[in-house]
Amino acid sequence: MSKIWSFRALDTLFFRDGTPLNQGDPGSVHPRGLFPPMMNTLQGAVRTVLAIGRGWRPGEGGKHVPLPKELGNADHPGDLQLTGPWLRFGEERLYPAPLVLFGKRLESGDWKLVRLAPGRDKIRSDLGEHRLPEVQKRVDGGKLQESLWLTRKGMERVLAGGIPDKGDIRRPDDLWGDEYRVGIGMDRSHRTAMDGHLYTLTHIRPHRNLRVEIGVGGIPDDWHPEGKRGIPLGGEGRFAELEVSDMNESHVLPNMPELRGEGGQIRFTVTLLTPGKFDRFPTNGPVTEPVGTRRALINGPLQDPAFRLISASVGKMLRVGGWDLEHRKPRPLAPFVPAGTAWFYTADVSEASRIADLHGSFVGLDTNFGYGQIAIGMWHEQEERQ
Amino acid sequence: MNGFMLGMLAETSVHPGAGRSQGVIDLPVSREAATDFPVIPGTSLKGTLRSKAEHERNQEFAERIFGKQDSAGAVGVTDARLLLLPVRSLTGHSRWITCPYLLERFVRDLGLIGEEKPLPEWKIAKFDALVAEGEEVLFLEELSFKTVVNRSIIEELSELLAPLIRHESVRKRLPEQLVVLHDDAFTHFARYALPVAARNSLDDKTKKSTNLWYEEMLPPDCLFYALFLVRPGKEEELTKLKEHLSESIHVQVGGNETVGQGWMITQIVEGAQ
Repeated sequence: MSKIWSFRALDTLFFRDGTPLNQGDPGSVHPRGLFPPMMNTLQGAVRTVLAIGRGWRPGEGGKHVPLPKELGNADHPGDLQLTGPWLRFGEERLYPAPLVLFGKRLESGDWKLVRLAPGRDKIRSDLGEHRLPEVQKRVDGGKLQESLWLTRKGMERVLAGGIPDKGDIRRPDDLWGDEYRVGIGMDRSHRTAMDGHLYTLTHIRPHRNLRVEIGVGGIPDDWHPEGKRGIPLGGEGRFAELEVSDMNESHVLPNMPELRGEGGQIRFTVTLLTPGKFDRFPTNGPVTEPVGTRRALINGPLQDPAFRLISASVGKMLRVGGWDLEHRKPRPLAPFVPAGTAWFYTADVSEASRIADLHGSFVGLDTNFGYGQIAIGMWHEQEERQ
Repeated sequence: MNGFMLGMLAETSVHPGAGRSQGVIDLPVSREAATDFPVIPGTSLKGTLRSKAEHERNQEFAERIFGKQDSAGAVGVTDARLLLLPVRSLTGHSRWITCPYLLERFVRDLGLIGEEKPLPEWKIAKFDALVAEGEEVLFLEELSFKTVVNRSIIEELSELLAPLIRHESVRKRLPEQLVVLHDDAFTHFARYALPVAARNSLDDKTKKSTNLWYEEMLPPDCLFYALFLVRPGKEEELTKLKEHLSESIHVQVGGNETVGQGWMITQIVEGAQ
């Protein structure tokens, strides 16, 4: 049975994104990192903790106890079934808001939000001929809200075709702060800073009571660690507190809305709850075109002719690298479709039960890592909303 | 042993620089982004201890403990977190202030080294000050607080914090000077009650000012602590670091070393595991 592994930063955290971070890299790059981290980072932490629990020791190369095969490797999760990552703020789990909310936060703290829906006319572009998402009503100074988090209640409202209440919206600033760090190389003999060895990073410092949690299953129950412990997590030698607990009601995904048909058609959205992976690149060798990612963005993640793609609201691609501990070099960058990306579909009413089965399922590659988990929601034509 | 805690009491002013300024103070101290509380970043503390290890032991020892460019070190060094902040009081001698959040975080951190300690329960209003004894009103800087006298809780808290402090004399005066404020009140002092010093650079010949700047600093008697957590399989190195820090009890952290700042006296706290 799956258990919940929950990570609390002891101070700051730093998870490397695709920005170069090697000594000698030219230019004035300012790596900011990713938060929440990608599952491949958390998988490394999970594997290490579980392997140590089975008697394996880092640095020994498996001389005394080999790393259990059930725990896989960096490219394959083995028997592990991972889900998430999610944020938990206090007692409440948060979900990335679907990219269908457009608007702004007012000085009063209230939100002025409208929904995106497919435009009436098809537009021809290099992507083909599609209905592009449009705002239902103009909001001066508004923008697509790409980094909001929603409570379960807020998420259910958005999936049902509505707008979340103010109290169900969390901005990144409500959850964590950026901390600018400067590092220098020291000349040991003179105890002075060395020329050309200055670097800057931005760590993130989670607010009080913010945790990152993932589901870990596929292994015997007694393999999970007990109690709390400090473990290394991410880059820059940062540590986090790990706590493992049983699943409860608060870990269940938000409910799918009732799928109501209009004129024999169901209009539904497919929203990524976790980043989606649609291409696999070789560890060594030339980087190829991200064909799968492009196909998923343009044709949608559901490969079923019964489901007709109408439009999509896509976030900025994530370029994820990471550090290969075994070979001590950066991993090749891979594109991920960000959580919150939403595709707008239609299907015949007779497909309702098949659509409902998709809620909480996975699309794309490496779904055992938790990538590509989707939620089903509803959308309405602009005319219907007015 | 999976880790230990290092209590750090400031013997002089300390300036853990933030690297950049956004306000009127040219050189502010580092602060936690989420709380605005002063902090000594873990990366800075680790650099200090590495340098100390290199000077007092050797480079090989330092690299074994703290790592090198192509291999991680044996221990994780957390930020040094603030626990007690001394502030002026018109009502008498200076007071050490803290707040429920810092105490709760401290107890949580103790749990990570296997030291489970209960935290006494109490409630405190925004303009109350929990003290062991005193007048009805307590002045801290320009603000006044209604005192809530509860000697047993203050003594219990002092007992909890005392292991971080090396000096016996300081431990003894802790209950009389300890004040627990509401989190919001503490945040005000952590933001605005740190000393700011004007520093000047003079022209050697004319003695005219060539540069004037303002530096924020942490006053002497601030109490911080940091956690040292072992990376799996490196328990031997953690023990060696503990021995090293037990033998050499002073560290210099932050900037302005040449003007006598940054000296802290340390005390190791071990957990039950």
